[in-house]
Amino acid sequence: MRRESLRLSDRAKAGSFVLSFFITEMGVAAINKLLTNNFMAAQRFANSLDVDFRDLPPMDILKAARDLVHLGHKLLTHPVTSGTAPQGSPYVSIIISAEGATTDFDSVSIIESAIAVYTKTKIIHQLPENIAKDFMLIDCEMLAKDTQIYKT
Amino acid sequence: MLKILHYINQFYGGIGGEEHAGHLPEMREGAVGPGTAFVAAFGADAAITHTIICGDSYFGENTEAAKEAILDMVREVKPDLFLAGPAFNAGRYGFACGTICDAVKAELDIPVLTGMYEENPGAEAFVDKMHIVATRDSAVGMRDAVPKMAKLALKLARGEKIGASIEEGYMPGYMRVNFFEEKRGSERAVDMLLAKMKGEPFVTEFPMPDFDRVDALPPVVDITKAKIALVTSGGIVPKGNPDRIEASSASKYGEYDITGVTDLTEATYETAHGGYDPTYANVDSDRVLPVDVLREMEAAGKIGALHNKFYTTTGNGTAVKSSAAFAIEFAAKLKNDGVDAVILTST
Amino acid sequence: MKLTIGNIRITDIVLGEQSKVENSTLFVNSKELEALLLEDGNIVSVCFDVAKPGESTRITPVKDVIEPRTKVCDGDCNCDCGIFPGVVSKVGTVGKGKTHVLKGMAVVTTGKIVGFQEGIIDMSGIGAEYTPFSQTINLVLDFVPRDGLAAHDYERSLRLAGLKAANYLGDLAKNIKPDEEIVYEFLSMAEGAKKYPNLPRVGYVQMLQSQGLLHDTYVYGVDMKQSLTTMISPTEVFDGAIISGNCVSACDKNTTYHHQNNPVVTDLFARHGKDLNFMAMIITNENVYLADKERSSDWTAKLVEMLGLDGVIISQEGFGNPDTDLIMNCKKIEALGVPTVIITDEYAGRDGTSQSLADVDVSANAVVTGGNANEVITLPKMNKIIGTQEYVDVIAGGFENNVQPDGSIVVEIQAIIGATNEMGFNKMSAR
Repeated sequence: MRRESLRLSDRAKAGSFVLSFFITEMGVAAINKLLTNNFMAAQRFANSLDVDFRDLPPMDILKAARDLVHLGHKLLTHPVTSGTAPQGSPYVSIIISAEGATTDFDSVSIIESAIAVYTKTKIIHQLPENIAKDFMLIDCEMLAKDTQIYKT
Repeated sequence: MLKILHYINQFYGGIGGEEHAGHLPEMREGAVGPGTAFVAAFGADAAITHTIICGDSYFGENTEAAKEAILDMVREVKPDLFLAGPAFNAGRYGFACGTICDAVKAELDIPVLTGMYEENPGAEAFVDKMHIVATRDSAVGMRDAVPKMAKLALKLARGEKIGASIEEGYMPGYMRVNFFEEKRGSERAVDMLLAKMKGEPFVTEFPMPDFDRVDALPPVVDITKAKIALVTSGGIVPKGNPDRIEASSASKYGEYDITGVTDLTEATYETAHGGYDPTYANVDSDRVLPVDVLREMEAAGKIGALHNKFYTTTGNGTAVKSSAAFAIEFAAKLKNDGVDAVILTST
Repeated sequence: MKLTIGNIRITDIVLGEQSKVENSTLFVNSKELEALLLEDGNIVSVCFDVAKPGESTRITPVKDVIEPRTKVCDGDCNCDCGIFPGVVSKVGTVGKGKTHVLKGMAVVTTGKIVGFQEGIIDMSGIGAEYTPFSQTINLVLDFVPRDGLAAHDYERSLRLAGLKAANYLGDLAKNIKPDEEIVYEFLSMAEGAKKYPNLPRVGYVQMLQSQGLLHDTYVYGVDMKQSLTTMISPTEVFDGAIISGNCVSACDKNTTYHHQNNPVVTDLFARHGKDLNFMAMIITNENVYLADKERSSDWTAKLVEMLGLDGVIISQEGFGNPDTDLIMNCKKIEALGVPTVIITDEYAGRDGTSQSLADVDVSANAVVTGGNANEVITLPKMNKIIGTQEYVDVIAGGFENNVQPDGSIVVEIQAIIGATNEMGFNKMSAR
């Protein structure tokens, strides 16, 4: 049983390798992950990224990203938003590589400093709906640059 | 009139020098020693109603107990400000001033102020936690320190807005405060660049924190053949602390032979560290310096060998500069002895 | 490239019958200007107002601040170009010939694009000390968009409307004799190196925010996020080569006015030929993708190396992830052995005790700061509000329920336009 499932997963791996290689040749990287608590972003990038939507506060998204970084994934976008309110946008979207062989120390250092920034940030959670939507929009826009052309 | 409680050590309290460093905390009414200079500087605005005197060694070796006793005294007096020192370049005094100010501020929410020389290890340890007025390195600087400290103390006690570090004379690193310069930023940048290019001195407006990152070495190739050494800043020493490693602000490290030792027992080892509850480390020092486990691994062939010497100091308030100097020295010894890897334990 | 800036002092703005500049007064025919701006169908109406220094007036939420300028080349520079090339004037190299400036005034646009938009200019009181635009006479344009207009489209319409209005006003000064003239000459690399062989060759690296909606900057109309790091003549910025598409978190966003009056450029010119040889201006972006940050900072350092510069000033825009671009630029240039000074600002928390920057490195050992943007101040109630204060509650730098019973508002200075500008426009610092 165990052997069988191993073989299956190996085959799956081989398959995805061929697929990702093919896409890379076309100038498109293997499907990257989007870790987000922004439903608008989850919807918008559903076809271009492997979306992992979690309805959690920003800090939890950052910590989930940190876990993935330690498992060998690489950060592709900077996790700290730029230039929105100091209360911080309640939304965080981070694009992370599909997988990686070794821990990327630049990613470790960036995610740690991001967590430090969010630790001191007071976040207003009870936002009026229209304002929350605007924050979602801006968060999406930050990633709007063609999400597919970026290689890890 | 504002009520100020002043903390000083046994020396400034007129009790005595090193031989009285074990003096237990006591509180007296009114100002003592340097307190009288502060009283003059405060004039009618504030009074030192009480003075706490404590021996530096007592504070360093019984930090928790000293802190509790002093906090009780502060609770009783309920001052508008807790003033400590100035400690100048006295390391243990600086450590005590920083530690007790930090506790008073955190636990009693009373404003605090201390003063010391910038190279005092207490400054390094507490500069990001409180206002510390920069003083000269010895009591000769009392005359300069008192007016600066008194002025800032009054502001803090009244809850007034505190200006930038260069305006008020406290050490940068605690609190960033805005102020208006003479020149605009772009002009300051041009001036700074010209100085930097010429190699002339300039002052950065934001000193970057230096994390002193160390690049990781390549992994040990074969751990089953490697000679492993133990090094700790947790203060584990042979019972009786033969080299008298200080409980805080250590000025030295110890090197001890553990040939044939398979277990650190209550009868043979203890901790010299004054910064944590020593009970568990004293009962079984393997908890901090895992000789027992490494001996087992050595016997089982999981590691090549446990090096027959360990190196130890107390990290409690010890200046990074001192720690680095210790390490440079014993790292050379470890290399000479053919050690392949080191396990560093802290507390 | 040689550019003569002719400053025409403006001491008053009057909304009147005929648009003209006369005796230091700017007369504006608001009907005519309105008609020009309403050519854009996205804008339903525009309200004109004048805010003067010292008045009890608050303008919010500010979208952009622009200085009216015009090209007056008299055919002597062979340039057929206009202010804001590639945006409201046709594409054509600027930075040469002659430019007239309406000095002492600004066009200020307001309009709510998103709900959390801030941007306060107080014309008096403590808030006025933090923004340079309390010192200019401001012609404020307050827009109403058509219903259902998407944020992107509204942002673009507002951006263009401000620039169009500024050009309309600037053109009124084509035939006015300037009160003062300043000549800026930027030599070619070869000439510059020959002329001042003994002076250190200094460059300026300007980082431009380029992360997306409300965080963009355009150079000759090109969205900077799509550009590789490149070079520009510092004289070009005086003619509106760089324009702002930024407006959230107002304290450290460069308005178009800041670009037109770039203080690093001005101060490097002031020492040019005396203490230094101002040889190059490099512009780079601040994107979200880490690969972009690496690429852009690689290019910045590479250009510094290729140009053989002896020292560089780097200015930042924005905060948060741009701190990473700043540190990458600094580290890579310092690694070449070229000394740098960086200009940034800080987010050290309301009490000033938090870590100021999101990224730090010891190689950044020469820092100029525009101050702590989280510092809290209480802005007094103003008799007149231009725009709307409705959203001050949720603005960047605002608090929940920050309006006091006496009408004053408690904000972080982050909400004030240009308060901690990272081109070093202001005197504020922090220690």
